[in-house]
Amino acid sequence: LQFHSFIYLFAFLPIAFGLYSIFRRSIVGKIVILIASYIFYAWVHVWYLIPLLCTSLLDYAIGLRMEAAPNEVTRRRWLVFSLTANLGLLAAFKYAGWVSQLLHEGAMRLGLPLAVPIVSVPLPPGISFYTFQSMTYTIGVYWMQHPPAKNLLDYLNFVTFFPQLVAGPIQRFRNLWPQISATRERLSSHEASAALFLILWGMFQKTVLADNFGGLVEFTTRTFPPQSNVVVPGMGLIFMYAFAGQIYCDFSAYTNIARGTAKFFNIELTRNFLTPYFATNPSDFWSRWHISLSSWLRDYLFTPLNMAWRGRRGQTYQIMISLFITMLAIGLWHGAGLFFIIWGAYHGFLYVVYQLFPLDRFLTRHLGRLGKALSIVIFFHLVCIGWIFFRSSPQQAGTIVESVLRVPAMLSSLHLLAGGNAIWDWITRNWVFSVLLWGLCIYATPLLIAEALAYRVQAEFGDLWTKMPTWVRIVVILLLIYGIVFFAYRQGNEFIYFAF
Amino acid sequence: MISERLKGVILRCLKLDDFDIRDETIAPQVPGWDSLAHMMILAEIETEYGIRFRAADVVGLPNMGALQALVDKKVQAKHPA
Repeated sequence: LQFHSFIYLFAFLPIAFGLYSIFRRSIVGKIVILIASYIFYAWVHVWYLIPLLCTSLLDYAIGLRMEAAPNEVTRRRWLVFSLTANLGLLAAFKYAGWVSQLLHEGAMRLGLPLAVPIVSVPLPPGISFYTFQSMTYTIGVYWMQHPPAKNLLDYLNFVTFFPQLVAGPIQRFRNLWPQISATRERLSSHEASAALFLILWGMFQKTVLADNFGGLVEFTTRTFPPQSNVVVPGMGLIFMYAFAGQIYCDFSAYTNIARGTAKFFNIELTRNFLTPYFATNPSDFWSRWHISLSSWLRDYLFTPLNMAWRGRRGQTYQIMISLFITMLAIGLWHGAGLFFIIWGAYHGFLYVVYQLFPLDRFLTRHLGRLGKALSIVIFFHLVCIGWIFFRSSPQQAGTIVESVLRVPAMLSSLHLLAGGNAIWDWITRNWVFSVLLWGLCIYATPLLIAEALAYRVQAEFGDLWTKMPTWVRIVVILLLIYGIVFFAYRQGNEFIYFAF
Repeated sequence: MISERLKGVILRCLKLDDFDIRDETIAPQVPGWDSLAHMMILAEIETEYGIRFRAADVVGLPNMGALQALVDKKVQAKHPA
């Protein structure tokens, strides 16, 4: 079920919220949330519930077994069982097709007499999110950070809470459990208005910004192979910027709607973004982008790897290796494909480069605020280059990069000081690029304004609601509604991160 | 309260001359304290105090006060009174 569909906004959510509000104080309230979560998830295919139920029930049982285990060895075995089962399930659905394809092609190329069948398994939405969330529970029990959950109903709600089930933010047990297992207070008018604003802002981000950026991405993609073999200067640049806008607005929109929806049930989800394109270096970026995943991998992969390997080689060398593995894991988490791995490796490479040559520190030290602004611009473009690998296919990437590299030559023929006619001539000669650039600017402007306002107070735009005077709130709401009514992209798209 | 010894290790790792580190200070508030610096600091603390952390100890430390308490606990376990 899509967050930005009419049925969700005007039927599913009001009914779920209404029933929950009526039965909030009894166990029925929790059952309402669980049934709503299962309906939400099984909306397209009922069988999606099977892996979800397997993960939930298995980890619930393992948590209890770990508590009853007589010694550390047995506890560790249960943890290994949980991790193997979760990662195995994830691998079976997400990577089996890709691996079998690679084996099949490899056998064909080597002329081996092997008939490797190509496996085709449909991917249940959000499986990467809920398996990671469930694993935080068993790891937490093993590390004795919290006791195991005794109440099955509450545990099922912890894994399946529908606002964040399909695309996060991945919640930690210590954050969600105390809220989900408690009898929560009635929603205050103050919280309700904040929740509605988050949903409205998320709707604007999705339908107006993300989907229109997506339109630009689709258009420019048609100028790349295999549809076209001609390198059009500048198309790669539009593609790169538009996709940077699309993926951020799309995922951030989902998170905002998820956080707003959760607030209706008086549950505060952790944020997933913090003005990520204002980052000055890789470390800064990953503490602002998909925070729930990057912090998950930091705590459950990067830190244990470092702890296990410390002292074997030089400290910095060992940290770099752990970091590189973590970044590869981030790439692989997003999907089965060489380009996701390259994207992860690219970010690992950026980490290493910035560790050896901290360009942002150098610029800030020597140029002050201008240096910081330059660091932001430089790192934004480095992130954008990464998005080329993330979004394009292997045969397109070269053309896109070449198209970007031809931009300086294209702009060199633009003589701004020569006056209006010369500029107009240039625009008519490069009219496709000019029109797309204009479109990009139209949708980038509100995003840039919102992000700059949020960056000033180190928050997200959706969080600024509480700081706005009433008249500003009215103006912002009217602008957002106006934007959604007149500028929403008419061909509604799924959220990109549903595919992960 | 953060001891001068622990504070000294942190400042040395982060190459800072001075910084006001209190119990409630969180890592992102300290200049240069990112995931990589975090690992370097933990390794330096281990060397300084002759203790060993486990991943379970250091994941989810909320603030500097918790780090100090963890170090004290480890030192106490190593040299029981």
